[in-house]
Amino acid sequence: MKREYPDSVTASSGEAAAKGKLPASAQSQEEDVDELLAALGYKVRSSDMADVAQKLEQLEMAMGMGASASTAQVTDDMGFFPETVHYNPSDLSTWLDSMLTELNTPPPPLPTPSRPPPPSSAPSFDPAESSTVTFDPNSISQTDPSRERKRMRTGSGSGSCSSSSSSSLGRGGAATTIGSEPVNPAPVTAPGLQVVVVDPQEAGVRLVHALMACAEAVQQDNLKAADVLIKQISVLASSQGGAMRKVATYFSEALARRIYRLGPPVGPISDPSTFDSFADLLHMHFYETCPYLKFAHFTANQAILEAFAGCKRVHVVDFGIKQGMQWPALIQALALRPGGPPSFRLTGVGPPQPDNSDALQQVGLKLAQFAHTIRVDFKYHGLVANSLADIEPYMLEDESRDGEPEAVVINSVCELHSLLAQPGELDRVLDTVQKVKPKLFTVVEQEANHNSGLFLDRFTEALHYYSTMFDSLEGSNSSPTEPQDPGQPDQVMSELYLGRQIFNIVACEGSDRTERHENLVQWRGRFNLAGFEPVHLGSNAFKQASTLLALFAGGDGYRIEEKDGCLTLGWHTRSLIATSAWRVMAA
Amino acid sequence: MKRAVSPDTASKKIKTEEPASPVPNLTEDLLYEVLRRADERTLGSAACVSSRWRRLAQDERIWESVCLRHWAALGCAPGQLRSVVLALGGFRKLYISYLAPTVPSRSGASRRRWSRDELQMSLSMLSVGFFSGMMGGPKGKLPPGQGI
Repeated sequence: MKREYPDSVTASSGEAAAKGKLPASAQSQEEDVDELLAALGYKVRSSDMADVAQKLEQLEMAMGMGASASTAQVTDDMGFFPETVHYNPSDLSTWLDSMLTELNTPPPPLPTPSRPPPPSSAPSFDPAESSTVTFDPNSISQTDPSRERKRMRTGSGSGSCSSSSSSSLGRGGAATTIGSEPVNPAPVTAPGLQVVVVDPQEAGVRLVHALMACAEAVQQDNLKAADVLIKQISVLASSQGGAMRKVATYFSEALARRIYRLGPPVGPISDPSTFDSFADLLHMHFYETCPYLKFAHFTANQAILEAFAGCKRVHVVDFGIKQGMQWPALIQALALRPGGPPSFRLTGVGPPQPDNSDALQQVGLKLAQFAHTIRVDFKYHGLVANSLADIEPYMLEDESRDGEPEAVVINSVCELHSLLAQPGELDRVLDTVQKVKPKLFTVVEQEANHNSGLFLDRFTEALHYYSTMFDSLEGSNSSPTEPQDPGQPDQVMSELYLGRQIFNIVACEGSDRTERHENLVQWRGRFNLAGFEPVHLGSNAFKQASTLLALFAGGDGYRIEEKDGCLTLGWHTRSLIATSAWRVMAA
Repeated sequence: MKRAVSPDTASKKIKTEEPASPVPNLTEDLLYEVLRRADERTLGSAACVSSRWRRLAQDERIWESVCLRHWAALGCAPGQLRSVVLALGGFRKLYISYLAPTVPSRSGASRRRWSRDELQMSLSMLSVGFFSGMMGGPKGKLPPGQGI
């Protein structure tokens, strides 16, 4: 819905604007009455047509929002028809004005003129579906509210956002603007609490523009502009609901970190010292909540199962074993193989633990217990490595050289992209893989290019990717096998998991920036250069994946696609994660 | 509820703890044979009748035939499947947690045949669920769908 509002009216209280708009009602309205409308019984002057159309839009918007807004206290107080006053609707112009005037009666003074909530707390209001909110414009920084208001209102220089947003909001007066008492020099008793009636769709678009503009400012090192934009972003974000708000919050926090360079990272999002154990927990929740990792595991397992057909001794090397969630299903599938299971060896690679706990061995023990339960011969070897590049082929060798040679498969789920942070590491890893000569090299990676040299490109791509991700979390927040209320810990943890990635992509640089996702095309190029050729994932893998989605109730939006033998899972039209399989090129 | 009463007393029941028609006094074998042929919904209702009925209605052999009835092609020996599934929680759990949710409507359950992929997927999920619930696991919570 594109609205062209002349910028003449910036901020004004509803009454002042309405007065200006009110056609001279005392005048006779007989001349130039539009004929078509007159036939319907409405008297509208032709010269007023555009005006009337605009006001109808505003009225519809205001009434629509009033109907849906439920949580904001002010809305309840406002009420749309406080007294029953009848206006003659046939005089459309005047009627609209009177309706809008009623709506624009500035809200009665809030019963508890409380201070705004401390700005350091995360925005806790709940705009949800309603776009009428009370909000604290200072959620990020501590600027003086009145100065903040003025800046928003007059839209000084920076960012087209503020001026156009206030002009569109202030037009004629379907909304009191962000500075709700501009004509009174004395601020209201609750300076931080304002009332904004905002069209969420428009605000959403402006939010995206603001984010992009801020990223551009950051790229150009224009920190002043970036600073201003950050504040606008928080304002706009608060008018959104659901996924958009969360995404915007994460991105703006990351941008803020980048802008203000507040020193070593702290908190659950960025602090590396809390990384490992907390990261594992988040990873688990993400695994449970949405199908991406399950998809990755099941499709990779299917390829591995097919590669192991007929082999009596098999060895899987997992480049990132974490909690070992991928392997029970494979062990079970091997157990049910016609002809019986092979002897199964697993090498799990993991980072050293900060608290010296032997997480790697614990995972191995659990898997061994599992394999024992279903009578599969199982051996486990835990390999601690700071980086995958430290792995040498001899570490993966079969120590007990009895009987048949092993069939080896190397499996990497979202582990390769971090190698791109250090030059040469990926090459070393691929070289090691080549030397091991596995039957199959299964690779799962995020399907996105978050490794562009240009910050703005990275930012844009990440914004789209994670918006889609968050949408999918919102859109499928319950499945029949995992019933949960929306907003439950699982979902929040999953969002935090993604938030850390966002943070890394936006706020970090150099060797710190480990979330260097690249897309299939890029990986294909790298693997080709390193001497690998693709192995097509069969139709079985596709069918497995489809079945997986059928089990997820929110499976409406998910899409599986096959691209040159690789499988991708995405949300609507956007692929988000891709599984591929490779083998060493025949000489 | 089910007492060893003479048929006469059973037929002229005045105290209504039971539905209108009294619970037939079948032997265990007969009851088992009847339930073995029942569909999933009936089994569910049967489990609510009495503790004896519940024990029989939840018998793994019955649920194994419920599952096998629905699978188009097994791909592995039944004994093989049985030992694995029983170790990982049983056929009843497999059905309730991972097969039944794929059926959109309740009435279609008895007529549906699952494909090999769906079977494999449900077994994979059963494995993952079992593994998650193992002691020292990352999440010790019970998979949903408990109790029919």
